[in-house]
Amino acid sequence: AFVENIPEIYILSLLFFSPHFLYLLISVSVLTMDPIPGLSKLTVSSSKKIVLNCSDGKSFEIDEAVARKSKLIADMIESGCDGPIPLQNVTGKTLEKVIEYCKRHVVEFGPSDEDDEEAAEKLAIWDAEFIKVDEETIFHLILAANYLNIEGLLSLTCKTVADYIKDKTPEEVRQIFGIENDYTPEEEEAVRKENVWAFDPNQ
Amino acid sequence: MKRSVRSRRKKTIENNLTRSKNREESDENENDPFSRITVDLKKEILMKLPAKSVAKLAFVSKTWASIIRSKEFTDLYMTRSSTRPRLLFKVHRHGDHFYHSCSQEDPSRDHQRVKITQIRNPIKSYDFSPPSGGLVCCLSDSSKVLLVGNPSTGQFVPLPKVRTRRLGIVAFFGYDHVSDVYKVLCMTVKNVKKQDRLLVVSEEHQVYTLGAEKKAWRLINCQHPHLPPFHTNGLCINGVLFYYAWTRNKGSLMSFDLRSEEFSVIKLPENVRLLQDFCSLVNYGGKIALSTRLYEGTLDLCVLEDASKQEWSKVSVVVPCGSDLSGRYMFWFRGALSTGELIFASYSPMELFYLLSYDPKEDIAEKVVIEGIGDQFSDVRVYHDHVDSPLFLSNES
Repeated sequence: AFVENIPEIYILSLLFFSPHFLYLLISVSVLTMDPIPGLSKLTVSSSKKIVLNCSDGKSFEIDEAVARKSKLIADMIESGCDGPIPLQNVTGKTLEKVIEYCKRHVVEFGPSDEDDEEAAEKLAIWDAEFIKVDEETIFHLILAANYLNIEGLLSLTCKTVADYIKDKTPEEVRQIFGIENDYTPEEEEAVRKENVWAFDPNQ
Repeated sequence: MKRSVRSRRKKTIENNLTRSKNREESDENENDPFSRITVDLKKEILMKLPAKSVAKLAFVSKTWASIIRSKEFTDLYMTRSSTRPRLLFKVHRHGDHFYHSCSQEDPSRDHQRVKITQIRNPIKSYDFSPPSGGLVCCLSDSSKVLLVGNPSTGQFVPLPKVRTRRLGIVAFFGYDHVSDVYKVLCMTVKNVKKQDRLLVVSEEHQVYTLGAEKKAWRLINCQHPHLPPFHTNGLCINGVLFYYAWTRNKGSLMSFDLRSEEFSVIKLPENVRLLQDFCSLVNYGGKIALSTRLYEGTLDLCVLEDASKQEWSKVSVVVPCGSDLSGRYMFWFRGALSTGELIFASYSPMELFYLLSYDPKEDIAEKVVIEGIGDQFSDVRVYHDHVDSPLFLSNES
């Protein structure tokens, strides 16, 4: 790829030698709306777009690299799927959020060793803000991440739910998830007596 | 049923999850997403909880209990837990007993604490075994009651009464990962006058297997007359229980194989003068070792290299720790972590509790402060390589 891009490098090197050429270049940039003509080819390895169709009719066009964050989609691309990919189990609203995650987590140039820890910290902060949504959206994201097979998003969403219920009593957890208590009142009483360790609020 | 639960939901949501305005309207159109969360996804969420929380969630409903208490889930959780070993602290303060644990890799992270609610007697003293397979055993010195407990959840259950009329009981606890069983080894000692002590040996050796069909102690044979001191702690490594005992008036290392239930005597190395008061059993990188306390920066160890050949090796470690690190406290070697780090702890109450950690590769010793444990009234015991386990203990008696 570097060999193919020599003409662009050649153009850039001329900048240093000719102020007139620089003027020409700038005007060309303004006309084509491309900062330095051909420079975009140096930065983006693949600009192939993938179209995703949701269950509620919405359509999204994203870069292949972003789409590949989903192992399900990556496998489909590998097996030659070219056209729009139908995602029956995901709504537009959820997919939009999923795409936002994938875009942020796509590795563009590969992390350099020095930036690793700092970049990881920044990413963690972004993740924490990203996941500040209501619980229904989180559950939709869990289901989508599971269906689309996006490991990082599944881990993040499950951890968020886990942290939320970590210190809750069984009764509170029932209320949050709308779970029916199938212990009879007598069974419940017996269980509470035998297991003080689990119901002690000071624990 | 679902609608009334949803209106109650509104009161319990906390601030860290923001609410969407159109919640009620959007619910009309979409299925409740939680109902579509499969069992596998529920397990994914549960796997990310500390053991204490997981164990409590079994009381949400019978369905949840069946997921959480299934062997499959427990094994899955334990496999992941064992890749994240924890430091375990047993604290005794004014008759209250509790367990505190933290991440071993980074002791500032992931602190958990459980109170042992069953034991609240400031007069009686209790002996707690080191943790093995995530569980511990506890013996009350004035009664024949033995308890098995989970230091991650705080649940303790009593075992059936030991088969003896005597009061002198010594007990050891261990887990064998090959046969996946927890066993308690117990023996009794006749109470005799001091001058007759030389004639006394342990008798009535019996074993209790946790979760066995028959909930009873089984008497077993022991071919080697020996006498373990009271309050001595055993250590279980790879399914073998080791403990110190006197055989024919000489100090020896006893080993009890949890699978075969066979005893054997291992002679201590000859020219090393080790008194029981000044030596303790430690796990030195998967091998049993006898260690002295850290004295003037030097640690002396006798490591058992081969049990069958009774081969010991001597190890001497120089720890660069001056008085700035140890202060006025005496530090004892508590064990070697899989990373090679050596951990030292003091048995004296400390105002601000800390461990000494020595990395032999880097030759660096440092203080590791553990917040929230201990003060000058607390007695703290330290254990390493504890596995966080949500194991629920069913009734054994």
